[in-house]
Amino acid sequence: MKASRYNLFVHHKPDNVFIGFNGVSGGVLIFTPAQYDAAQKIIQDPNQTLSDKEIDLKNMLVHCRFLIDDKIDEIKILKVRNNLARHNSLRLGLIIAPTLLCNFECPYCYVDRSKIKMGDEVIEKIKKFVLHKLEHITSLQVCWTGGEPLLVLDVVEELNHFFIKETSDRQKNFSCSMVTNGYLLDLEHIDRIKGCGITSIQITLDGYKEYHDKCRCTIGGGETYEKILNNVVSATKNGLNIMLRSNLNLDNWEGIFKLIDDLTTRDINRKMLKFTPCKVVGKSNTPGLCNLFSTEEFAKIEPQIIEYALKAGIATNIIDMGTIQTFCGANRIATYVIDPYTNLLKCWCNLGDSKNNNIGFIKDNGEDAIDFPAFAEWVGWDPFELEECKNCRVLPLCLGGCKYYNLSEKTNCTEIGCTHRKYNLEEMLRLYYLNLTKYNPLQVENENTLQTKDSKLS
Amino acid sequence: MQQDLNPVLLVKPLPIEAEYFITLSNEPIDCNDSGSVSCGKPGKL
Repeated sequence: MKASRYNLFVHHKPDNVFIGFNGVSGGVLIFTPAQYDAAQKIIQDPNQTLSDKEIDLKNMLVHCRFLIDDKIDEIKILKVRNNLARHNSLRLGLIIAPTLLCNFECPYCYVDRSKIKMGDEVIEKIKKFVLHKLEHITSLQVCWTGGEPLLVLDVVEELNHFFIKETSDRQKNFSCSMVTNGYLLDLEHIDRIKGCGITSIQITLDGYKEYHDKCRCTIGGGETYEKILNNVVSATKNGLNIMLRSNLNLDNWEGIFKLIDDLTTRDINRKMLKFTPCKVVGKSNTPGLCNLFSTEEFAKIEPQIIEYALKAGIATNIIDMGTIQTFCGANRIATYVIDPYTNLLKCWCNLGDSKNNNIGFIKDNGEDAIDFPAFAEWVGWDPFELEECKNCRVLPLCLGGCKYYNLSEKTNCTEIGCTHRKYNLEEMLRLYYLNLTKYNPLQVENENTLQTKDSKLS
Repeated sequence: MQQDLNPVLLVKPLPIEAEYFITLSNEPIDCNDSGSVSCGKPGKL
């Protein structure tokens, strides 16, 4: 036996325990100091003679793959796992922009806000495209974006009802989400969204009111914070899962704590809300707004924000340290972004710039016409060809990170597409532990977690 | 007498690859599709 190269141990002083995490298996073990010392002794020399109790401990370390067989090459396992997922064509993922029109005028928006709306001809082409694919897949996952999709909810409804019927007739799975600015998400729209199979919504508030209203304003500069937040309250109370995202930069991040405080005063159904602070990439068109964090800078403030939210009883979905198959659908063969002209793209950051970034289009008969070199640029990108990735301890958690950020000249980046987890892994592991044991213990009831003192191997 | 050395299993490991012989289905393994870390794209995401 030998030690995994993806073991991480963090001492959590308040509980005087050591948190052990393996990046390949995702397993987490909690050790007392005596157990930790014994475990380290075994990990350093796995082949030594052991007592019966030490053998039990060793079996636990093997179970969570802190110890692995000598012949196992973990990088190969990660690579094959990644390739299986990327080349799986059974799950079709579609990100659809039914319009690029928007009722907001955010200074950092990358989308060309043209007034194009999908017409009947385009809708029919998308239907044919999906029918072509349906025979060969097991599930269809759709995400609506834009522009602002609620401005053309009739298009969303027509296509979603079609998707629901056709997948149901063929016993295929269907799931659907939407990215909206939330301004139009009143009770009528909530009912219509739920009525066409959308179960989760992503909405962005850029920090607290003062900054948000400067950044995410209506065309003409109207404030939006209060209206969006009131709509978030209604949506959670009416059964929609809300991922509340905040784009953070050097100018607005300190106000995020006031936003979290504000969330705690609202009549939100918290079971339906997940809060997600994000690092912005790209450039603002307005001087003085959106001065960007470096990845390392963001890694320092992220744990502060997460811990503040967790202490306030606001759940977050980026606390998860689980293993992943692919970082992004852009690297999968069966994920497409469809713009209102039926161009096919790989990344929604390219919406509105299909002339330079499309990887194909949908033909009149519904077949896809793929620009194979452009397609290969995305799907052929391989973190396992990069020495920096292969030697990185967070490779199982990011699998190379963001391809767009990694290679696009538009981002003007000086870093490869690393995630901030590279720089705050220990601190986020500590928060992961606290989330499961203290702040949000209900999560341990799911099937992937256990929290019993008697959790020995059977 | 040596104390109990078994740590608490807080999060179960992913079952795949735990055994040498698995049945490869065409479906991806049961772990997150993406995003233990958000992608950080700008704009209205």
